[in-house]
Amino acid sequence: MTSPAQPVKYRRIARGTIAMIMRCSLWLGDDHLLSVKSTGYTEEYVRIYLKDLKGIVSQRTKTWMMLNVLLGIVVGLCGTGILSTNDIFSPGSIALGFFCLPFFVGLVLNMVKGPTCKTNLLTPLGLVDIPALQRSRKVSRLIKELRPLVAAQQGSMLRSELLSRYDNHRAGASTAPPPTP
Amino acid sequence: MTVGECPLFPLLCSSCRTPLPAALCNSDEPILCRHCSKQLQVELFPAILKPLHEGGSVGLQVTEGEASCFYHPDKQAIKICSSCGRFICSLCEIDLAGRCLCPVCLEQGRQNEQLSELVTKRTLHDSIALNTALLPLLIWPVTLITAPIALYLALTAWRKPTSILPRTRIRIVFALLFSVLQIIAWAALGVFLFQKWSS
Repeated sequence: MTSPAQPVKYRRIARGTIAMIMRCSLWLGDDHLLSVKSTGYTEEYVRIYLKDLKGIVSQRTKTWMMLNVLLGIVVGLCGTGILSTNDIFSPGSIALGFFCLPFFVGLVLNMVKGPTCKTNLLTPLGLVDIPALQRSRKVSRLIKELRPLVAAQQGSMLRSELLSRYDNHRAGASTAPPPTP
Repeated sequence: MTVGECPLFPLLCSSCRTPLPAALCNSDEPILCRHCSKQLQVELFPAILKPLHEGGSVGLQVTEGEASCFYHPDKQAIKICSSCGRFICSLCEIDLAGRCLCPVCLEQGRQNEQLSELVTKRTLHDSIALNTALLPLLIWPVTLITAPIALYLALTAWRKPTSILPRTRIRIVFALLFSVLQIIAWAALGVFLFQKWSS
């Protein structure tokens, strides 16, 4: 009979939402990353072991800029409306200010959080989408945090050596003759 | 086939699938895809050099005087299952979170949900119990039915496995509290109405 192992201690690295309904998060365990998708009533887990992790590819998206523009337009219109009145403490201006406040907070938060991105992890089974990693800054922080942990699992290698060996192998594989049946 | 001839994991732009030059990776600066001009940040780890289709070892044939695998008597045993203690060969060896398990122990652990490393889905019974206790308050007469259900769910949720992530039992406590309060309120209302009717 299998004895229960010690529970893995996880530390949260990032969290986000999918389509504003599902919650997702990324956790770091002793030797693996855990991507969690939650509906609030169920949780689905995907484990990516550091010894198998081949790389991280993060692609910038336009969501950050679009949100900034949209929220900026709303805040700008409200601000213009408030400033164009003679009395900025009139009930109408205060009401407009209260209406504008959530958009202003959203704009500031979005600007502070930085550019948005779509992140995939390269694993032996292909690309694994990590919806929790939606900000470039978090991806950069994760990469810095993972470097020593991955080096401990896979062995350390100089950047130049790794990249040149990868390019050489790739070039060798592409020029190699097809295997004979 | 040598490692140099085996295909490696392709490094492609995640937007247009154009091959990316590895020389630009692992720098903290974002790189631009030459084809679609998307900004990418790529970090490669040494495992990228492993070939895509890496075959496993089939195990050595057992010779006289050597221990053989419990499941494959013709194969040489190389490890001991850390759960059942059986000798196992390289075919049967399964490395799981620093432990070496045989396939039978792995399957038993998966079925009994004793190996949290194999759990891929969990139902959050505590959240279900809490929402069953709280949400019907929006249409409060419904709580006459839902309060006992919430109490039952909260009581049963206490023993059921919950999330593998750090999580307290505070939801179950609140579910118990609110469901009991609702039942008490309904009982008090019943007693009050009965007394009023009898008088």
